[in-house]
Amino acid sequence: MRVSLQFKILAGFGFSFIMLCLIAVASYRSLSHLTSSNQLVAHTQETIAGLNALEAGIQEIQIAYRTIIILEEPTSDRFTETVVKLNQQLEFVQYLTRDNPRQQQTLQQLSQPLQAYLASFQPLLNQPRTITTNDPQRRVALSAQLTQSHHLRERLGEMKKLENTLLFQRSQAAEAEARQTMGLIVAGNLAGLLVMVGAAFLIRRDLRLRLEVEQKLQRSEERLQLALQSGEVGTWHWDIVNDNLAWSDIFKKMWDVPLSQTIFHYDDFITRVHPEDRPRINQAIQLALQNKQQYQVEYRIVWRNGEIRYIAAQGICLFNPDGKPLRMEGLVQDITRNKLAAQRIEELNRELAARIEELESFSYSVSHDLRTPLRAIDGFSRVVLEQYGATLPPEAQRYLGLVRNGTKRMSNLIDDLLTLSRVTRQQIKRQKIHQTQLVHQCVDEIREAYPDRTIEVNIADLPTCYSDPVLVKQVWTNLLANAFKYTRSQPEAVIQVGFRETPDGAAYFVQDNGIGFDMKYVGKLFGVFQRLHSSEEYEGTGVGLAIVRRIVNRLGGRAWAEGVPHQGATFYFTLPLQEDSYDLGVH
Amino acid sequence: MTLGYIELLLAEDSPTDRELTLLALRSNKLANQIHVVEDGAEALDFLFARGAYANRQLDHPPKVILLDLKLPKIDGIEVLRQVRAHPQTAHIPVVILTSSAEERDVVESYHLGVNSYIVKPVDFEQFSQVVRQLGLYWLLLNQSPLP
Repeated sequence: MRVSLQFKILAGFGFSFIMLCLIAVASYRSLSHLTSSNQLVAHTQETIAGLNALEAGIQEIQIAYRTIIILEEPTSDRFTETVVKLNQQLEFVQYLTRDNPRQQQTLQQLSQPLQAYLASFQPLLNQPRTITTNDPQRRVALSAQLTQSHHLRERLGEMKKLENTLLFQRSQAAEAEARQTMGLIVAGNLAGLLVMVGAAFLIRRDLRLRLEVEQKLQRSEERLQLALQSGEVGTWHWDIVNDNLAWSDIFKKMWDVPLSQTIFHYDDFITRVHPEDRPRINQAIQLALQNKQQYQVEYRIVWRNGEIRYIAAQGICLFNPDGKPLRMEGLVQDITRNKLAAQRIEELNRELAARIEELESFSYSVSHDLRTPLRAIDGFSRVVLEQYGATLPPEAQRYLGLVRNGTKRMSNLIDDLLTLSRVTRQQIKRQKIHQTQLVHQCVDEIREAYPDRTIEVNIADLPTCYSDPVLVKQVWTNLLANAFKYTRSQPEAVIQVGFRETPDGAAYFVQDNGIGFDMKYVGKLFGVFQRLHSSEEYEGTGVGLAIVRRIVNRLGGRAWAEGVPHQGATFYFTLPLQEDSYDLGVH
Repeated sequence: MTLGYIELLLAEDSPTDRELTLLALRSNKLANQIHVVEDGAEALDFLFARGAYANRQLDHPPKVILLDLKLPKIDGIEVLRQVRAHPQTAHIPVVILTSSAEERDVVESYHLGVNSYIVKPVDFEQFSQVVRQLGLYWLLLNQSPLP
């Protein structure tokens, strides 16, 4: 399943957003935690400072007292001040350690001895200044005070130690938290960045693909337009429900309507159509709409100048789910040129048929009319020779003989020309031909014409072919008759008839060991009236091989020859061997 | 024109061919009762005793008709068609003796019931042979139904 670009963008941004929110929450929590840790560290430091001040206060009281004694200062103001400060300090430390029950307890325990310690100075202060420092009572009191002070400071030292331990722990915890927070922020930002980059990459790739698809679409559209233009194909669109027609520019040109006109209706269309063709169009449209068939019709349209153009139109109809026709889309092509060309072809065909007819009647009259005078020339020459030969000088008799030879040759020429013409126009009737049998029959017939010749004819097994028996027989007859004729000078004439593979395809052949021919004249061999020997040497009109080639070509095969002077000649021809293969040939 | 018993009707428009045919028949001693007509219309007039031949007796039809195809007025094929169409003449043997062997003529002639279709050889000896054989066969050998 393909995920749409919109979805990808949405998912990418959504995911990034959620990531960033999570990171922000985590960072906030982590930071606030760090702040409270740092506060704790500061608090501990403050407590330690308070404790230090307390300790210093205890010492200061002693110092103050000693100063009074030694300097015998009457004023006790400084002392009182110091006591007040000490009490304030104690209260402050109590306040600071309110979160720590153990320290509170220690302070509580400390409070009693401290008050006692402070109270111990009062009697001393009230004594007269005259008492020396060496007074034993005072000495005892002072010593006790020292012990008390020492004891108090020891307890404070314990408290400080505890606070220092706390400070150490809290500092470490704060440091760890700071590191964790930093790590979290960096990792979170990195993750967010990665997601963004990933999303951006995917989106970019999709955009590129989309761009490619769009370009392809555009190119394909351009090609379509080009094809429509070069093919001069107009397009149309008919909104059946609202009877609105949209025509392409090519269509408008074809229809002889101004390009500026954009709105058309069915009436605009049908009124331009030749009135005789309108029912056909309506019928085609009905068929397309009712039977959901393709709309396909050819019709004429009439231009404003009266010119008639031929149009081929096709289209398809689009229906709504209920089967109601909504619109039709289609193409039109101006086929006037094709139509006119087809008409011209028809005309030419008729002309050609007329020409062929003419040619046939010509050859008919040639065959009939030219023979009659020839027969008269020959016949009366003969009659003269028979009836008046005795009274004619020998020279005159010889001349009459020449006249008769001439008529004979002319008669042969006419016969061959007629055969040539007949094989060209005779209708081809194809059927399976047993070639071996046919060749035997031809050889037997030709042998009768040469009763005093001994000729060895070897006929191989020939494949059957699918062709016109009359024409194929003519081919064999002509080739075999040639072979008989041109082996005349050969004491042991041998003719081979067979079928073999040649570089030009499998072919029937007739081979003789007669006088052959020079290959440089091979091009002349199959031409009409082309002879390689004089007619005195070898009788003939020079039409036989032309007939062979014409027949073979008409039957979809080819004929050719190979020869060596004084060694013999081989004539090849191909024919369609299968019933359906003659369509491949030329005919 | 009064005519007695005619054995052979020759319809031939070419004077030279006519004469050569007669020469060949004569030289083979077959030229006894021959009548020559020069076109198809005359041939039909003769056969049906019409026009110039109105007085001719119809009880003795010729033993054979030698018919050229290319005849003036009415061509040989049409003559053959009318001869075969009429009960009076339907059984008379008709031999087409013509200069050309056009396939369609041969087919049409046989379709109309011709008895023989011969192409006149140009060579006079061969022509003479053909006429001789025709005369011998149709006038002497062949037995026609009695009229």
